[in-house]
Parts: sequence; C-alpha cells; structure tokens
Amino acid sequence: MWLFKLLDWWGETPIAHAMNSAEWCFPAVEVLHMIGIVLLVGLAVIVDLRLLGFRLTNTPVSTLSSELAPWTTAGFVMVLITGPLLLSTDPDRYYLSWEFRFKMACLALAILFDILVHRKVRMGQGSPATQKAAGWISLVLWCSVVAGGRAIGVLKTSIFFT
Amino acid sequence: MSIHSICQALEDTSIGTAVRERMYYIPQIFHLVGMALFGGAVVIDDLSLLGRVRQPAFSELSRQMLPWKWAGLIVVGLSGFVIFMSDATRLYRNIGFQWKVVLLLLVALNAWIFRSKVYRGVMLGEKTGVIPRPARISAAVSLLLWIGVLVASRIIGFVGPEY
Repeated sequence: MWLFKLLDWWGETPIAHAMNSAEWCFPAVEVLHMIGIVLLVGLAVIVDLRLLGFRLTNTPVSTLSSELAPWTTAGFVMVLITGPLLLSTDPDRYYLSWEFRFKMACLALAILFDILVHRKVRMGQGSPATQKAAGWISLVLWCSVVAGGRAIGVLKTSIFFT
Repeated sequence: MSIHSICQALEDTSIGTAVRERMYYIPQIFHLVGMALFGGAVVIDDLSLLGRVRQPAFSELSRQMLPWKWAGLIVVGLSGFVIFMSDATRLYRNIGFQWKVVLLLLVALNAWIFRSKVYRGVMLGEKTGVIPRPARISAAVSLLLWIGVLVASRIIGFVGPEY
C-alpha cells in the first residue's frame, strides 16, 4: 500500500536516523509535542467554551478567536512538525497501531470540521444552536485526538504486539 | 511512619492495585486529556499578562476561567494521584518525579505571590493600559515552570530507580 511505502521511506530518511541516534531525542521532541498540544487544543477549547455559552460570554466569539488565533496556529505548526518526527522513529509500529489510526482519523475529522464549519461559526455566523453544536463537536474531536495519542503509548494493541 | 511505608500502603490499596494490574491506561488518558483541556487556561492567563492576548482584560479573563481551572486541577490532580498510587514506591524515589513535585510546589508559590502581591497592580494597570513589570515576570515564571513540569514528567520514564 502506498501509505505504508511512504511511512517506510520516512523511517529511512536522515531525520529519522538522527531521531533514533540518541536516547534523549524522542522524549525531548515529545515535550515539544505536548507544548504544541496545550497551545492548540487548550486554546481551541476555550473558544469552544465560549461557543457553548459557558464562559467569557461578555466577549464576542470572533474577538476571542482572533486574539488566540496566532497561538493556536503556533501550536498546530509545532504538533505538525514534532508529530512526524516522533512517527519517524518506528513508522511500522505506528502504522499497525489501532490507537494511532484512531488518532489520525479524529485529527482528520477535526481539521476538516475546522475548515468547513468551525471557522465560519467562530467568526459569528450561525444560530446559537449551530454555535453550541459546533462547540461540542470540536470539543469532543480534539479530546479524542489527545486520548488516542496517549493510548498509543500505553495500550499497545497493535497487530504488531499480538 | 516512613515515606516508603506510606507509599507501600497507597500501592496496596484496591485502587492502586487495580490501576497497576489492569487499567493503568485509564488515569493516564484522563491525565493527558486534562492537561490539554485545562493547560489552555494557564496559557491564556499568562499570555494576557505578557500583553499577547489583549481582549478580554486580564481581570475579566482570569475571573471567567477560574471555575475551568478548578475543574482542571481536580481532573489532572486526581488522575495524577491515582497514577502515583499505582506505582508509589518506585515513583517517590524517581528523580524526575521528585523534580516534578518541587516544580509544582514552585508553581503554587508563584501563583500565591501573584494573587497576594502582584494582582492589585494589574487591576490598577488595566485603567492606564500598562501591565506592571512584576506581573510580566510572574507570567514568564509560570510558563517556564510549567514547561519544567512537562520536562520532569517525561524524565520519569527514562531514569531510575528500576525504570
């Protein structure tokens, strides 16, 4: 399968070899990955709380969202760089891991939902009911991404391990 | 009663045993999802004090986010404690864990100093649009300490004893 081949190639690049060369590389990149997650998910969730009408109701959604936008973007860039670096250390294992597949599926949905719906809603479009629904969907998707990510490390139910 | 015997007692509780033997992943997932959910509340406060998030003003922002931060403290703290219970006798001797505890105490100290000494100046500053220097320092210290907590947490898995 082409995806498997792509991952195989990625695991053989000089970057991947560098990641595997020292024991401290993986945990160091993991810390950067977590900082990125807090920036991306932690701040996205605050916008969702506002959409749900739970918190910060005196601030317009669009104001809050544009104030936080540079930081969520920074977080997104961080996870987008560090994620593939972590992946490169053992691409086969990740490919075969059900938790990893779950995480990637949720991530794809979260990004798609952001581009197609959430982006418009947080600029103030849509009825209060739409805003609430969008807030919940985004909240659940991002939590699933993080939960899936942690599960990769602790569950190990991949084909590889059985 | 020594630290070791307290840790042994925690480990021998039914929760400690059940988490260690069968469901170690449950508190781990809560701990990490909690970090992602509630870490943002810490970051947004600090960014506001550093003048990087302008609206809403800090006093409104921190007051609004307070219940969320308490919820986070409960979820992350409780799941963290359960993880500790499951592996207490090894964790308390782990240098990464020891650093994590020290850094968390410093986080608490920094927050206490902020609330008791610095916050009044922030309130006054909001009228003039100037964030006082001690507030900026407090925010920078908070961010650095939390990064330290993350680093210490990752170190736990990579150093001894018996890891």
